[in-house]
Amino acid sequence: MAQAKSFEGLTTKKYPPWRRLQTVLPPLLVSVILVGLWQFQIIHALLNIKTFQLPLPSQIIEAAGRRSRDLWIGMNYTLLEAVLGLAIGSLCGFGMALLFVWFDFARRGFMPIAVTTNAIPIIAFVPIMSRWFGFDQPTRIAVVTMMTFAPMVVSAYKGLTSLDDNSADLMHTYAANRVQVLLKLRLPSSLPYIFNALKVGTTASMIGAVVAEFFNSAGGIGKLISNNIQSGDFALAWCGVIIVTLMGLTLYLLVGLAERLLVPWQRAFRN
Amino acid sequence: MNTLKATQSNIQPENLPLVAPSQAGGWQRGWQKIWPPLMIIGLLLIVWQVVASWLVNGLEEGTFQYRQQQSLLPAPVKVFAALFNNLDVFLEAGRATLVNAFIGFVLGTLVGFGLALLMSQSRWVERSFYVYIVASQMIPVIALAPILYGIIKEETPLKITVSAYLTFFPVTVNVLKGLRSVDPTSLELMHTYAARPWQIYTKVRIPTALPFLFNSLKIASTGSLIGAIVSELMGGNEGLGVLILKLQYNAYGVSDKLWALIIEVALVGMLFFLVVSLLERLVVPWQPEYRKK
Amino acid sequence: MITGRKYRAVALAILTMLVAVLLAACGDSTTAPAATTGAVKATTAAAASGSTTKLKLQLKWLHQAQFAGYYVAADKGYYKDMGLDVEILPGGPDVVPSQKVLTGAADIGVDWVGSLLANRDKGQPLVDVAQFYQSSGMLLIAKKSSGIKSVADLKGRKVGVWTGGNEFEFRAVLDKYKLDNSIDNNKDMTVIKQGFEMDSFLNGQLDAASAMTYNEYQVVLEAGIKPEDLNVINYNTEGVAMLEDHLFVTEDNAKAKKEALSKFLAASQKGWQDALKDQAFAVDAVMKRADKATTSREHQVRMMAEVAKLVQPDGVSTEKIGVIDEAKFKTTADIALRFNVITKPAQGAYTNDLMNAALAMVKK
Repeated sequence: MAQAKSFEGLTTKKYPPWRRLQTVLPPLLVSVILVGLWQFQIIHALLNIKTFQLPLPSQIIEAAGRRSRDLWIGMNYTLLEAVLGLAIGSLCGFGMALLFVWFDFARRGFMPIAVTTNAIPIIAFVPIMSRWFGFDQPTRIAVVTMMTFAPMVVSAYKGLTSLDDNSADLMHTYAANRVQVLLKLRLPSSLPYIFNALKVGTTASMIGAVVAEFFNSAGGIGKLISNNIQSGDFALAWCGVIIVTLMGLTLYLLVGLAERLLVPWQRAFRN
Repeated sequence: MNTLKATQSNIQPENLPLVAPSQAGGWQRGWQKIWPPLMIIGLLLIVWQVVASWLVNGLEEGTFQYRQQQSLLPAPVKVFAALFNNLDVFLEAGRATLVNAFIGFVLGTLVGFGLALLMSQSRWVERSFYVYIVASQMIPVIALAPILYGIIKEETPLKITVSAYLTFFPVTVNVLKGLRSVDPTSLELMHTYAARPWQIYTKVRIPTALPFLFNSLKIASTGSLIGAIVSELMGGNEGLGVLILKLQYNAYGVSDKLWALIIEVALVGMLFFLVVSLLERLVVPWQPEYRKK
Repeated sequence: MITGRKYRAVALAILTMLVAVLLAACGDSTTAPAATTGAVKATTAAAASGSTTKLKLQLKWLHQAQFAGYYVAADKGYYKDMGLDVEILPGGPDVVPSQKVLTGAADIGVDWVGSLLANRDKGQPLVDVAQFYQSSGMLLIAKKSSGIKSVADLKGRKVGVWTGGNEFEFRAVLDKYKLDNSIDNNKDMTVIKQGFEMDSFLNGQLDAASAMTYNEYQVVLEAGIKPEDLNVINYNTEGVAMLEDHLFVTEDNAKAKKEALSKFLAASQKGWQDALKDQAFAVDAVMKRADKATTSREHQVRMMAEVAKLVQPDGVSTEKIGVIDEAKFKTTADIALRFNVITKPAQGAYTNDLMNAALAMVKK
């Protein structure tokens, strides 16, 4: 039983503290080294650039303090666009994938279109979206929805239909109807794929919102970055860049956390 | 009939018996696949034309109101006419963007694959850099472009760099997942053969990773194209991104060229994607999706 | 599992792809990815030895009649006669000429004096060496229906402004009317970056938009709006007009490359003089570079006519085209200081040395 106990100890979330440190320490070390190289202008020397192009961390922090109010407002403005667009796009994508599972004709007609929509650089649509929805958040929400919709359709469909044949067989022996098959078999199997698409979606949503704001926007972090790059206040622009990066990272990590909690059985987590 | 794509064979829990593989020939199967989406696209075009015509119904050409409607939704007939009339300009821009995006794509794939191999070997390397790799994709490249322009002063190397930058992330993440998602039975088999680590890689891990790689390549193809276009938006002189900006320069209501360009951008994206899909077919044909139904 | 044969097939496929990529790269007309940061320095250093000097001119906007003089000079061979190989780079909404010049991506830039003063205020070592636009053409326009008659009415509205160097007259007029003069934080109004198009203004998404007399204003008229339906805020009447298009270089280059730059100015001045005299030829030169998909000849003809009024307004003789008028410059600098565009008085922001050297060359 002692062996079983230690096995449990490793598979539950209660890792011994030194294990936790092992996970956190390396990236922390790398970030310290990175910041050091940056602040002491070694990166500048290597790439032959001046501080006005790549401001020092100290200047960036100073700019953050100076314009914290604008950064906070912009951050919330952009975050709303990204999250709302991601939510709408993913839900619609999942719904469509479900439709494909149940109605094969819909799949045959729309799936190739959905798959190739995935391949279209959505940046091209921003000018038109601006004309239709104006300069406020709806434009960016529309862009992000478009960006996150297609990956979710493809991944969700793949997930909903990638069943272990033994389980499928079992469902049949239980004479399960469509909904039961959906809830008990398809949904759980599709979760890894859905989370894959969501992770892709977090990147896409944040970047999509910011890039769309670069075109012409009434507000948001993207607008802040764009304006300040042009007026030469690179320190403030970099503040914005770092905030966007952190927001995106946080979203990604949240989705990853949700994945760990909801889909702990994935093979990729076991190795 | 619903089809569940299983890993080993085709079983539908709701309605067995099994569906026999199609006896139809290759061309017929191809046509069966193509006509539903074509029909849908055709329908969409018709709807577009109807709505556009309805919007300008009764308005005189050249008046302000007419131009306003044209500014919002030009008729597809005009858009396609604009596409053909300006084909030389559009194709030249497409070439400039696509070639550089492709070069960046190849470079990014190589870098991504190498990184994934490295990270699968050493947990320490993975833990140190995974967060940064993820973070690198969160940095809006459009904001980095002006800084990169200051460093890389030439337009073409910049486009290639940005394309590679947006390519390597999906490749790394997916290949790493693939290298780790090896069937444990296969690993045990390797162990019984006393296989060396590099043999395990070449015979088991990399082949397992290949489907994942191509999955990511499909995503990365769009990414590299977006990278090229974005770097053009921020100060390029040629290419699709530059053309997107320039074509907004037209007189009021003359938006058909802009729309034509957007259609071209969509087509270029799809073309790139199709090429990668074709490659996937050739290199990893054992995937269940490609088996005969 | 993959057999050895399959491996070879895959490897061969990858190899052929790489070869295709390399061929595409070499066959590409643009530079292969071998260009480095040293490339620009290397070419100009080699050129100093007497052979053709390469210069890059960074324009402020797309190719259009606004920059006709340079195109004419290139097409008539004036640059070549002076031993110069000039590459004219078009600009855009996100191209900042001052940054291109500071980083060495371009040698000379076209920008507005308000922007130059603000940049110098920040410590950037740039200097105005020629002033081709002696009169300002920027306006702020609004539809009569919007109810915007004066700057005070802009409060709380959506205003379109070109960022990246064109916003300083706007900021000066905001300061004059005691409104918040940052274009960033939307305190007194929402400032939106304007691009190339007037559709947003015409469709009502912008309450007020920036317009140049020679370009956007014409576009709006061409769309069917009559001048009576527009309210125009003219920066000249508001007393905040600043000098606009000029040529600038880094302070170092003004001394180090004085000879080449003076030759450039001499050729450019000749180009502008010819452009004003023979506007049809100038428009031809413009149309050769402007994408036929993006503009019409008629529009460029109208633009050229308006531009001529700004390059040679009343009181400027043909020989003085491009020479910096000290009094006018001082007025601009004073406005900039008074309305908080710059924090300290401008010093050494311009020099007529190169222009005088150019005129001397021409006289010979």
